Amino acid sequence: MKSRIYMVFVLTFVAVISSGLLAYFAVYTQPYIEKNKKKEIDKAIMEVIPGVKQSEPIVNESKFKIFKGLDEKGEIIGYAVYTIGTGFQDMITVMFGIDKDLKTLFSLKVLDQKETPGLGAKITDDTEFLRFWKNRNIEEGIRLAKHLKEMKELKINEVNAISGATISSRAVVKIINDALQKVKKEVK
Amino acid sequence: MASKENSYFSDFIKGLWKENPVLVQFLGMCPTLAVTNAVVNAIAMSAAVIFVLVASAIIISLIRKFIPAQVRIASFIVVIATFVTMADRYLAAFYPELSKALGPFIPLIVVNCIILGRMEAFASKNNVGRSILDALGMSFGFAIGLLLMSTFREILGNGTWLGYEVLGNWWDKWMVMILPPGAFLTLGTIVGVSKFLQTKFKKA
Repeated sequence: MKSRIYMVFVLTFVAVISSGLLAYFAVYTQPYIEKNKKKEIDKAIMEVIPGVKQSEPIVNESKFKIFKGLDEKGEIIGYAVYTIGTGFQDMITVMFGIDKDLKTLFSLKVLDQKETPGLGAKITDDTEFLRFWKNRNIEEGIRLAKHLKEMKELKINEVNAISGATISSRAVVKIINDALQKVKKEVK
Repeated sequence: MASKENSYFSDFIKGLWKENPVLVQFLGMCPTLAVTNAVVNAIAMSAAVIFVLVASAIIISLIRKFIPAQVRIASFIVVIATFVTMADRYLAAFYPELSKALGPFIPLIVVNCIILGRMEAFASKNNVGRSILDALGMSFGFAIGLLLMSTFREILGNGTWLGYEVLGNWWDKWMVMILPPGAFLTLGTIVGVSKFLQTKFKKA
Protein backbone atom coordinates (compact mmCIF):
# COMPACT_ATOMS: atom_id res chain seq x y z
CA MET A 1 0.00 0.00 0.00
CA LYS A 2 2.76 2.34 1.02
CA SER A 3 4.68 1.60 -2.17
CA ARG A 4 1.60 2.32 -4.22
CA ILE A 5 1.19 5.80 -2.77
CA TYR A 6 4.88 6.39 -3.20
CA MET A 7 4.60 5.37 -6.86
CA VAL A 8 1.78 7.84 -7.50
CA PHE A 9 3.65 10.53 -5.62
CA VAL A 10 6.84 10.12 -7.66
CA LEU A 11 5.12 10.14 -11.03
CA THR A 12 3.02 13.16 -10.06
CA PHE A 13 6.13 14.94 -8.87
CA VAL A 14 7.99 14.25 -12.13
CA ALA A 15 4.98 15.41 -14.17
CA VAL A 16 4.53 18.61 -12.17
CA ILE A 17 8.19 19.59 -12.48
CA SER A 18 8.09 18.85 -16.19
CA SER A 19 4.94 20.85 -16.86
CA GLY A 20 6.32 23.78 -14.88
CA LEU A 21 9.49 23.75 -16.97
CA LEU A 22 7.53 23.48 -20.20
CA ALA A 23 5.16 26.28 -19.28
CA TYR A 24 8.12 28.55 -18.62
CA PHE A 25 9.80 27.55 -21.88
CA ALA A 26 6.60 28.00 -23.89
CA VAL A 27 6.14 31.53 -22.61
CA TYR A 28 9.79 32.28 -23.32
CA THR A 29 9.71 31.08 -26.96
CA GLN A 30 6.20 32.29 -27.86
CA PRO A 31 7.14 35.83 -29.01
CA TYR A 32 9.95 34.48 -31.22
CA ILE A 33 7.67 31.92 -32.85
CA GLU A 34 5.05 34.57 -33.53
CA LYS A 35 7.68 36.88 -34.98
CA ASN A 36 8.77 34.11 -37.35
CA LYS A 37 5.19 33.55 -38.46
CA LYS A 38 4.73 37.24 -39.12
CA LYS A 39 7.99 37.38 -41.05
CA GLU A 40 6.87 34.43 -43.16
CA ILE A 41 3.57 36.14 -43.97
CA ASP A 42 5.32 39.41 -44.85
CA LYS A 43 7.69 37.56 -47.15
CA ALA A 44 4.78 35.75 -48.79
CA ILE A 45 2.95 39.04 -49.44
CA MET A 46 5.99 40.32 -51.34
CA GLU A 47 5.94 37.18 -53.46
CA VAL A 48 2.26 37.03 -54.35
CA ILE A 49 1.70 40.68 -55.35
CA PRO A 50 4.18 41.79 -58.01
CA GLY A 51 5.76 45.18 -57.28
CA VAL A 52 4.37 45.55 -53.77
CA LYS A 53 6.42 47.74 -51.45
CA GLN A 54 4.44 47.69 -48.23
CA SER A 55 1.33 46.11 -46.84
CA GLU A 56 -1.40 46.88 -44.34
CA PRO A 57 -3.76 44.37 -42.79
CA ILE A 58 -7.48 44.96 -43.46
CA VAL A 59 -8.85 41.78 -41.95
CA ASN A 60 -6.72 40.09 -39.32
CA GLU A 61 -8.36 36.96 -37.96
CA SER A 62 -6.33 33.93 -36.93
CA LYS A 63 -7.47 31.86 -39.92
CA PHE A 64 -8.29 34.53 -42.45
CA LYS A 65 -6.34 37.67 -43.22
CA ILE A 66 -6.46 40.24 -46.00
CA PHE A 67 -3.59 42.61 -46.59
CA LYS A 68 -3.65 45.72 -48.76
CA GLY A 69 -0.62 45.81 -51.04
CA LEU A 70 0.74 49.29 -51.73
CA ASP A 71 3.35 50.48 -54.20
CA GLU A 72 6.07 53.04 -53.42
CA LYS A 73 3.64 55.97 -53.84
CA GLY A 74 1.29 54.39 -51.33
CA GLU A 75 -1.29 53.53 -53.96
CA ILE A 76 -3.12 50.26 -53.70
CA ILE A 77 -2.13 47.68 -56.30
CA GLY A 78 -3.72 44.56 -54.94
CA TYR A 79 -4.63 42.39 -52.01
CA ALA A 80 -2.87 39.44 -50.42
CA VAL A 81 -5.14 36.88 -48.83
CA TYR A 82 -4.06 34.45 -46.13
CA THR A 83 -6.44 31.59 -45.52
CA ILE A 84 -6.57 28.14 -43.97
CA GLY A 85 -8.82 25.36 -45.22
CA THR A 86 -9.25 21.62 -45.11
CA GLY A 87 -6.96 19.51 -47.28
CA PHE A 88 -6.92 15.77 -47.79
CA GLN A 89 -5.67 14.93 -44.30
CA ASP A 90 -5.03 18.14 -42.47
CA MET A 91 -5.28 21.88 -42.85
CA ILE A 92 -3.66 23.69 -45.77
CA THR A 93 -2.45 27.26 -45.29
CA VAL A 94 -2.13 29.34 -48.44
CA MET A 95 -1.43 32.91 -49.43
CA PHE A 96 -2.46 34.40 -52.76
CA GLY A 97 -2.33 37.79 -54.37
CA ILE A 98 -5.16 39.40 -56.36
CA ASP A 99 -5.40 42.71 -58.19
CA LYS A 100 -7.29 45.67 -56.75
CA ASP A 101 -10.35 45.11 -58.99
CA LEU A 102 -10.65 41.50 -57.77
CA LYS A 103 -10.40 40.18 -61.31
CA THR A 104 -7.02 38.51 -61.52
CA LEU A 105 -5.18 36.17 -59.21
CA PHE A 106 -1.47 37.00 -59.53
CA SER A 107 -0.01 33.90 -57.92
CA LEU A 108 -0.46 31.36 -55.18
CA LYS A 109 1.87 30.24 -52.44
CA VAL A 110 1.34 27.30 -50.09
CA LEU A 111 2.66 28.17 -46.64
CA ASP A 112 1.86 25.02 -44.72
CA GLN A 113 0.44 21.61 -45.57
CA LYS A 114 0.54 18.02 -44.39
CA GLU A 115 -0.67 16.28 -47.55
CA THR A 116 0.64 12.88 -48.63
CA PRO A 117 4.36 13.19 -49.41
CA GLY A 118 5.05 12.54 -53.08
CA LEU A 119 1.40 13.04 -54.11
CA GLY A 120 -0.67 15.74 -52.43
CA ALA A 121 2.43 17.44 -51.09
CA LYS A 122 3.16 18.47 -54.67
CA ILE A 123 0.79 21.40 -54.13
CA THR A 124 3.95 23.20 -52.97
CA ASP A 125 5.72 22.28 -56.21
CA ASP A 126 6.12 24.99 -58.81
CA THR A 127 6.45 22.91 -61.97
CA GLU A 128 3.69 20.46 -61.04
CA PHE A 129 1.10 22.82 -59.65
CA LEU A 130 1.76 26.40 -58.64
CA ARG A 131 2.89 27.69 -62.06
CA PHE A 132 -0.61 27.06 -63.43
CA TRP A 133 -1.93 29.54 -60.90
CA LYS A 134 -0.18 32.54 -62.43
CA ASN A 135 -2.57 35.30 -63.59
CA ARG A 136 -5.88 33.45 -63.43
CA ASN A 137 -9.23 35.16 -63.92
CA ILE A 138 -11.25 34.94 -60.72
CA GLU A 139 -14.48 36.73 -61.59
CA GLU A 140 -16.31 33.42 -61.59
CA GLY A 141 -13.93 31.46 -59.39
CA ILE A 142 -11.19 28.99 -60.26
CA ARG A 143 -11.93 25.59 -61.79
CA LEU A 144 -9.85 22.47 -62.29
CA ALA A 145 -9.22 21.54 -65.91
CA LYS A 146 -10.96 18.28 -66.91
CA HIS A 147 -7.68 16.79 -68.13
CA LEU A 148 -4.05 17.89 -68.00
CA LYS A 149 -3.37 20.70 -70.42
CA GLU A 150 -0.40 22.78 -71.43
CA MET A 151 -0.24 26.17 -69.75
CA LYS A 152 -1.35 28.03 -72.90
CA GLU A 153 -4.27 25.67 -73.54
CA LEU A 154 -5.77 26.32 -70.11
CA LYS A 155 -8.74 28.67 -70.01
CA ILE A 156 -8.07 31.82 -68.02
CA ASN A 157 -9.97 30.52 -65.00
CA GLU A 158 -8.64 26.95 -65.15
CA VAL A 159 -5.74 25.28 -63.37
CA ASN A 160 -4.32 21.79 -63.76
CA ALA A 161 -4.83 19.19 -61.05
CA ILE A 162 -1.93 17.07 -59.85
CA SER A 163 -2.21 13.57 -61.26
CA GLY A 164 -2.62 11.15 -58.38
CA ALA A 165 -3.69 13.92 -56.02
CA THR A 166 -7.04 15.12 -57.30
CA ILE A 167 -8.44 15.49 -53.79
CA SER A 168 -5.63 17.76 -52.67
CA SER A 169 -5.91 19.79 -55.87
CA ARG A 170 -9.67 20.13 -55.44
CA ALA A 171 -9.15 21.11 -51.82
CA VAL A 172 -6.87 23.97 -52.81
CA VAL A 173 -9.34 25.17 -55.44
CA LYS A 174 -12.12 25.09 -52.85
CA ILE A 175 -10.03 26.96 -50.29
CA ILE A 176 -9.27 29.68 -52.84
CA ASN A 177 -12.86 29.98 -54.06
CA ASP A 178 -14.24 30.12 -50.51
CA ALA A 179 -11.71 32.77 -49.63
CA LEU A 180 -12.57 34.77 -52.76
CA GLN A 181 -16.22 34.85 -51.71
CA LYS A 182 -15.19 36.26 -48.35
CA VAL A 183 -12.84 38.77 -49.95
CA LYS A 184 -15.59 40.06 -52.20
CA LYS A 185 -17.73 40.72 -49.15
CA GLU A 186 -14.95 42.41 -47.19
CA VAL A 187 -13.42 44.50 -49.95
CA LYS A 188 -16.04 46.77 -51.43
CA MET B 1 42.57 2.66 -11.40
CA ALA B 2 43.59 1.78 -14.94
CA SER B 3 40.70 -0.60 -15.34
CA LYS B 4 38.24 2.00 -14.11
CA GLU B 5 39.48 4.58 -16.59
CA ASN B 6 39.25 1.93 -19.21
CA SER B 7 35.61 1.28 -18.43
CA TYR B 8 34.79 5.01 -18.54
CA PHE B 9 36.46 5.15 -21.90
CA SER B 10 34.54 2.16 -23.17
CA ASP B 11 31.26 3.67 -21.91
CA PHE B 12 31.84 6.43 -24.37
CA ILE B 13 33.49 4.62 -27.24
CA LYS B 14 31.09 1.69 -27.53
CA GLY B 15 28.32 3.84 -28.97
CA LEU B 16 30.51 5.16 -31.74
CA TRP B 17 31.22 1.90 -33.46
CA LYS B 18 30.80 -1.42 -31.63
CA GLU B 19 27.23 -0.71 -30.50
CA ASN B 20 26.46 2.09 -32.93
CA PRO B 21 22.71 2.72 -32.65
CA VAL B 22 22.20 3.16 -36.38
CA LEU B 23 24.61 0.67 -37.89
CA VAL B 24 24.52 -2.11 -35.30
CA GLN B 25 21.50 -1.78 -33.03
CA PHE B 26 19.15 -0.55 -35.77
CA LEU B 27 17.44 1.88 -33.43
CA GLY B 28 15.98 5.20 -34.47
CA MET B 29 15.47 4.06 -38.04
CA CYS B 30 12.57 6.41 -38.64
CA PRO B 31 14.58 9.67 -38.44
CA THR B 32 17.59 7.94 -39.97
CA LEU B 33 15.63 7.22 -43.13
CA ALA B 34 13.48 10.34 -43.16
CA VAL B 35 15.67 13.35 -42.43
CA THR B 36 18.96 12.37 -44.06
CA ASN B 37 18.15 13.88 -47.47
CA ALA B 38 20.32 16.89 -46.64
CA VAL B 39 23.35 17.23 -44.38
CA VAL B 40 21.94 20.27 -42.60
CA ASN B 41 18.84 18.31 -41.56
CA ALA B 42 21.02 15.47 -40.29
CA ILE B 43 23.08 17.91 -38.22
CA ALA B 44 20.00 19.54 -36.69
CA MET B 45 18.44 16.16 -35.93
CA SER B 46 21.69 14.92 -34.39
CA ALA B 47 22.04 18.05 -32.28
CA ALA B 48 18.50 17.64 -31.00
CA VAL B 49 19.13 13.98 -30.15
CA ILE B 50 22.45 14.77 -28.44
CA PHE B 51 20.70 17.39 -26.30
CA VAL B 52 17.73 15.20 -25.43
CA LEU B 53 19.77 12.06 -24.75
CA VAL B 54 22.39 13.75 -22.56
CA ALA B 55 19.90 15.90 -20.65
CA SER B 56 17.56 12.97 -20.02
CA ALA B 57 20.47 10.75 -19.00
CA ILE B 58 21.59 13.30 -16.40
CA ILE B 59 18.10 13.67 -14.91
CA ILE B 60 17.26 9.98 -14.99
CA SER B 61 20.52 8.89 -13.41
CA LEU B 62 20.12 11.58 -10.74
CA ILE B 63 16.63 10.45 -9.75
CA ARG B 64 17.11 6.74 -10.51
CA LYS B 65 17.07 5.75 -6.82
CA PHE B 66 13.74 7.47 -6.17
CA ILE B 67 11.81 6.01 -9.08
CA PRO B 68 9.87 2.85 -8.25
CA ALA B 69 10.27 0.10 -10.84
CA GLN B 70 6.55 0.05 -11.69
CA VAL B 71 6.45 3.63 -12.99
CA ARG B 72 9.98 3.89 -14.35
CA ILE B 73 9.02 3.79 -18.06
CA ALA B 74 6.30 6.40 -17.53
CA SER B 75 8.74 8.64 -15.67
CA PHE B 76 11.38 8.21 -18.39
CA ILE B 77 8.88 9.18 -21.07
CA VAL B 78 7.80 12.29 -19.16
CA VAL B 79 11.41 13.40 -18.74
CA ILE B 80 12.27 12.66 -22.37
CA ALA B 81 9.13 14.37 -23.67
CA THR B 82 9.95 17.47 -21.65
CA PHE B 83 13.34 17.84 -23.25
CA VAL B 84 12.04 16.99 -26.73
CA THR B 85 9.36 19.66 -26.47
CA MET B 86 11.99 22.15 -25.36
CA ALA B 87 14.19 21.26 -28.34
CA ASP B 88 11.21 21.51 -30.68
CA ARG B 89 10.15 24.94 -29.40
CA TYR B 90 13.74 26.14 -29.47
CA LEU B 91 14.11 25.19 -33.15
CA ALA B 92 10.74 26.72 -34.02
CA ALA B 93 11.72 29.97 -32.30
CA PHE B 94 15.27 30.41 -33.53
CA TYR B 95 15.66 28.18 -36.61
CA PRO B 96 12.22 28.27 -38.28
CA GLU B 97 13.54 26.97 -41.63
CA LEU B 98 15.14 23.92 -40.03
CA SER B 99 12.12 23.33 -37.88
CA LYS B 100 9.96 23.27 -41.01
CA ALA B 101 12.31 20.93 -42.87
CA LEU B 102 12.40 18.47 -39.98
CA GLY B 103 8.63 18.61 -39.59
CA PRO B 104 7.22 16.02 -37.20
CA PHE B 105 10.53 14.23 -36.68
CA ILE B 106 11.66 16.41 -33.80
CA PRO B 107 8.52 15.69 -31.72
CA LEU B 108 8.94 12.04 -32.71
CA ILE B 109 12.26 11.88 -30.84
CA VAL B 110 10.05 11.12 -27.83
CA VAL B 111 9.46 7.64 -29.16
CA ASN B 112 12.98 7.20 -30.49
CA CYS B 113 14.12 3.85 -29.12
CA ILE B 114 17.74 4.95 -28.77
CA ILE B 115 16.77 7.30 -25.99
CA LEU B 116 14.31 5.16 -24.08
CA GLY B 117 16.68 2.22 -24.61
CA ARG B 118 19.65 4.02 -23.06
CA MET B 119 17.55 5.22 -20.13
CA GLU B 120 16.34 1.71 -19.40
CA ALA B 121 19.60 -0.08 -20.09
CA PHE B 122 22.12 2.40 -18.75
CA ALA B 123 21.14 5.68 -17.13
CA SER B 124 18.70 4.06 -14.70
CA LYS B 125 21.46 1.74 -13.43
CA ASN B 126 24.60 3.89 -13.43
CA ASN B 127 25.93 7.09 -11.90
CA VAL B 128 25.71 10.48 -13.56
CA GLY B 129 29.25 10.57 -14.95
CA ARG B 130 29.01 7.21 -16.68
CA SER B 131 25.49 7.97 -17.91
CA ILE B 132 26.67 11.19 -19.53
CA LEU B 133 29.54 9.37 -21.24
CA ASP B 134 27.21 6.65 -22.42
CA ALA B 135 24.66 9.19 -23.69
CA LEU B 136 27.36 11.19 -25.47
CA GLY B 137 28.77 8.06 -27.08
CA MET B 138 25.38 6.83 -28.23
CA SER B 139 24.23 10.19 -29.55
CA PHE B 140 27.52 10.78 -31.35
CA GLY B 141 27.15 7.30 -32.81
CA PHE B 142 23.69 8.31 -34.01
CA ALA B 143 25.14 11.53 -35.42
CA ILE B 144 27.84 9.57 -37.27
CA GLY B 145 25.20 7.32 -38.80
CA LEU B 146 23.08 10.27 -39.89
CA LEU B 147 26.03 12.22 -41.26
CA LEU B 148 27.24 9.22 -43.27
CA MET B 149 23.78 8.70 -44.71
CA SER B 150 23.14 12.35 -45.51
CA THR B 151 26.62 12.87 -46.99
CA PHE B 152 26.09 10.13 -49.55
CA ARG B 153 22.51 11.14 -50.25
CA GLU B 154 23.10 14.85 -50.65
CA ILE B 155 26.24 14.48 -52.77
CA LEU B 156 24.80 11.84 -55.09
CA GLY B 157 21.31 13.27 -55.16
CA ASN B 158 21.99 16.98 -55.32
CA GLY B 159 25.71 17.36 -56.06
CA THR B 160 26.19 19.41 -52.90
CA TRP B 161 27.41 18.93 -49.36
CA LEU B 162 25.88 21.15 -46.67
CA GLY B 163 24.68 23.35 -49.53
CA TYR B 164 28.14 23.79 -51.10
CA GLU B 165 28.69 22.61 -54.66
CA VAL B 166 30.84 19.47 -54.60
CA LEU B 167 30.23 17.85 -57.94
CA GLY B 168 30.17 20.11 -60.96
CA ASN B 169 27.50 20.48 -63.58
CA TRP B 170 28.64 17.31 -65.33
CA TRP B 171 27.08 15.31 -62.52
CA ASP B 172 23.67 14.00 -63.50
CA LYS B 173 21.85 14.31 -60.17
CA TRP B 174 20.44 11.03 -58.90
CA MET B 175 17.09 12.35 -57.72
CA VAL B 176 16.23 8.96 -56.26
CA MET B 177 18.89 9.40 -53.56
CA ILE B 178 16.98 12.33 -52.08
CA LEU B 179 13.66 10.53 -52.27
CA PRO B 180 12.69 7.82 -49.76
CA PRO B 181 14.03 4.86 -51.84
CA GLY B 182 17.47 6.47 -51.73
CA ALA B 183 17.35 6.31 -47.94
CA PHE B 184 16.90 2.55 -48.02
CA LEU B 185 19.56 2.07 -50.70
CA THR B 186 22.06 4.15 -48.71
CA LEU B 187 21.25 2.53 -45.38
CA GLY B 188 21.57 -0.95 -46.88
CA THR B 189 24.90 -0.17 -48.48
CA ILE B 190 26.37 1.53 -45.40
CA VAL B 191 25.23 -1.24 -43.06
CA GLY B 192 26.60 -3.86 -45.48
CA VAL B 193 30.00 -2.20 -45.64
CA SER B 194 30.15 -1.66 -41.88
CA LYS B 195 29.22 -5.31 -41.21
CA PHE B 196 31.93 -6.39 -43.64
CA LEU B 197 34.49 -4.22 -41.85
CA GLN B 198 33.37 -5.46 -38.44
CA THR B 199 33.73 -9.14 -39.30
CA LYS B 200 37.08 -8.46 -40.89
CA PHE B 201 38.38 -6.65 -37.80
CA LYS B 202 37.17 -9.43 -35.53
CA LYS B 203 39.10 -12.06 -37.45
CA ALA B 204 42.28 -10.03 -37.50
